[in-house]
Amino acid sequence: MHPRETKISPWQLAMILIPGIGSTALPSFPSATAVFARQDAWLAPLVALPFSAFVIWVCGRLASRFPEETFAEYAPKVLGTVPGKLCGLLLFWYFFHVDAAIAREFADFLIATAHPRTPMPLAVGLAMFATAIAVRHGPEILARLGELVIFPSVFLVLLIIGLAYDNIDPYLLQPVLENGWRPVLMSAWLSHYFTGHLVLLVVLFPAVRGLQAGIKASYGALATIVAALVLVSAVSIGVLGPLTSSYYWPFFKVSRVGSFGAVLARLDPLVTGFWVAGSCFKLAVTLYAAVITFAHIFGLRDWRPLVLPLAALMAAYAVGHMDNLVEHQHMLIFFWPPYTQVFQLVLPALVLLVAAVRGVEGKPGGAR
Amino acid sequence: MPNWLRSLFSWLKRRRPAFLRPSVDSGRVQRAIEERVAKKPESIPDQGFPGVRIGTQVEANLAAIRELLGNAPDLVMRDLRIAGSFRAAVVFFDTLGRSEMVATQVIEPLAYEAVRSGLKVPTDLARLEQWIRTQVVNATSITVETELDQVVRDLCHGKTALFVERLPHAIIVDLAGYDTRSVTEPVGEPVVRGPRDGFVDNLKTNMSLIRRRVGSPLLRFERMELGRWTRTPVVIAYIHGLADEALVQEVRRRLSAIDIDGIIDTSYIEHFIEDTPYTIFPQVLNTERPDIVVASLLEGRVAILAEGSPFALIVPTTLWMLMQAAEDYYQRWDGATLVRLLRYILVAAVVLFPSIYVAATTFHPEMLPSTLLISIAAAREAVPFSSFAEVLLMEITFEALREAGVRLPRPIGQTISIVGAIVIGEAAVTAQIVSAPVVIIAAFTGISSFVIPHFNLGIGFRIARFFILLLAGSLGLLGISIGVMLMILHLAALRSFGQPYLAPVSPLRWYELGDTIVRLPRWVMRRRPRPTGASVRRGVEFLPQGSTDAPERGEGSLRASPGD
Repeated sequence: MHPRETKISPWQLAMILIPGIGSTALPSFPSATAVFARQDAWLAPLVALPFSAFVIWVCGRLASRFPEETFAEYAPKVLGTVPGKLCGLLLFWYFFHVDAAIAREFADFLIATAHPRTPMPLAVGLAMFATAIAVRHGPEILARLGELVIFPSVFLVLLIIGLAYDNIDPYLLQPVLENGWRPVLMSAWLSHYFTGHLVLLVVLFPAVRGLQAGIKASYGALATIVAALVLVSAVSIGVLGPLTSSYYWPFFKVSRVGSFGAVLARLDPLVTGFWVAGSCFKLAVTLYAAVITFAHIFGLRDWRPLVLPLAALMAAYAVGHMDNLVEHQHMLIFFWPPYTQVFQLVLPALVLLVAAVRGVEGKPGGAR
Repeated sequence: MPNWLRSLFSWLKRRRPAFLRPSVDSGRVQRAIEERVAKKPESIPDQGFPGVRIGTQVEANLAAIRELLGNAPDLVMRDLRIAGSFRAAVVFFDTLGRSEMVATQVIEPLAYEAVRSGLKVPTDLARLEQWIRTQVVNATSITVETELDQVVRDLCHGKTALFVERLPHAIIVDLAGYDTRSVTEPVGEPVVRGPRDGFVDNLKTNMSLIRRRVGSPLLRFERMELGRWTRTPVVIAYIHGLADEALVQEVRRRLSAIDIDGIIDTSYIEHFIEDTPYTIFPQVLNTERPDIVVASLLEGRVAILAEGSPFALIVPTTLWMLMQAAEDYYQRWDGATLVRLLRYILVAAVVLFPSIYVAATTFHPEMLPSTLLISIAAAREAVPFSSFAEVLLMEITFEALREAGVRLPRPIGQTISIVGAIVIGEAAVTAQIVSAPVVIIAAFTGISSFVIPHFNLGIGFRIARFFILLLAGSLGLLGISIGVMLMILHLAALRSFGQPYLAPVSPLRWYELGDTIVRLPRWVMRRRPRPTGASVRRGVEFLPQGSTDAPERGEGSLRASPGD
């Protein structure tokens, strides 16, 4: 059923996950978490780490129970046809919604920083179009693209931090845990909606050669992302201090602060460029997950024809579902965290639990 | 009649037993040849005369050949008597074969040399043929052919045919030889240090240039003929044991699927064997240098050569190979690495510099440092065009100059440089048609595009530059980012004979990275690259991907022996 034409290696899986989750998180991250935790925002990803690891564990258990199958394929077997398909649809809706939100955030950033007069539909439409082209090549090409994006991005992040070195004031991180753990937990809740996006794995694991190595690679990817988030949060807070939460993209601000004499300054166009590439990559990975899930709910043989129409729908939804940046940010901070947990944690865990209780297994021949 | 039916008939005709096959002796066959040549000559290259044998009468054979070749003025038909008794005739093109060699090595020994030196002439025909082949004719390569088609084909390739009365075969002697360019330094790929010989337009010489460099008996040449009308000899070269057997098989398959009237140059072949025809990037490397070919063969790649072309094709090819010059390997590694890094930076400049200028001046003036911004603004003050139009204008001008420079006869070349430099550069700025920074950008990107060692890759990037320029002019930084991303995506998705185009950078193979953007010292590169990959197309899996075979000991490593 699944046209799994090319399998990806565990390394390539990590190359999909790291930029596929980290790319949009990095520039915007400490803004939302600092709303609650203030100078302790850098702790949030660490606190969220066990929850995100739990997501990987659930996805891994599901994948080893149902080898070679995606969520939309085994959910009906576990829960019965109609509830199973409904769960598949819910997951599809999650990917769809997240993709639209990412596209919206991408366009917001672009319009706010570099292109004040570009119409929103154009920015979103162009990104979705590029994304659709990428997705049509399949997961292996996505992984290779990720490989190409990730190393320059890491270099860029380190460069920004290096250039901002002079402006970092470590004492701004103090006092640690000023208000106890409660605000940090609140921020971790926010942080988890980024890292919990690892629920992508219910779609990606079946495409990986060697499941156990794939699970390990996913944990590695999670660790990398969390480390990057902690670093970026700490640096942003170190530079911006109590102002962190008042910027929508604190790390972008940090990139404008630093310079190396007159030789190397103004990295922000470069950051914008990488932001476009990274967002498109994240959009592509999520779009791929959405398309695959949709195709498997309805048992389609080929998913490629779905890519462009779904991308167009997402673009339309991204443009239409919010009025402005403020509303969008408000949604991301107050509505989004509990909402996404339903799909990231509850849905797969529920299916796994029912499968374990009922003892449902995948195809007998498919075990690895 | 449908094609498959025709080929079925022709197959059956070729397969019938010998006594059913007509020979050119019979008048019916002669008339049939005459008729085909007169009325349906276009069917001859495809079908030939299936199953028609060489006759026993010399006269009939000569008549058939004369009919087919249309009384060619350069066709030599020399009658002779072998040792004074057997009637025979020697046929060859004196434009392709060497007359004096035929005279001394075939005609002289047959006519009297053999008898004079005391060889006994056999009386029966079977022994006569063997006698001629083994004892009389001096040439080194002698074969016996029975089919008329084959004999005519050999004649057209410069071989000499010997017909003997009452013998139903032709004895084919290879004395082909013709004037070619001598081996010189390749014009397109010169080096300061390194081998100075280049391929010529003669297949045999080219093969010898390769064979000379590879002492291993496992160097393989496979010959085939391509082109319905030209029947151009094409040779696949690889090293058995280094080249993946599946890869060689795929090369064979793709070559034999080519159906074309003629192969004038290996570029004709290149266009047929590319994985993705719709792309601006070349997926096959072409080179004039035998040392590059040999180095590629040692990496397990396959080379394709054709008669009449001094360019060898190498598959599979990666982007990094196209960015490497032969010189990189002959200079010390530090200098080579520096040059390579420079090359990649300049390629980025070719693609991005004009677009960034347009985007910065049109959409994002805040991107520029204020002093630079002021000087650009001052230069642009009186210019009537938008910076996009300016850049486009200058880029087109540069392309025109470049093309004219290549095509112009050398004596007029001076004109172009004067006109180009003074009129367009100086006058356009003075007249304030374009601003000076744009002239600088056009000139810089133009020069940069020539640091790409392989010309056809440079063309690809120059085309990409116009696309991205268009995007930058309409969408600014967003356009550049999207354009570059799509270009990289396209590059990542390209394949050359199943090998990912950006390998070993993407997919990442750490051990091979030493010979991509940098060049590490030779003794560090201890593993052989593995030019294989998986097919992207569904259902067509011709090369296995990512087999975890044991690491191989690489080329000339100092410490390659397991002892230390």
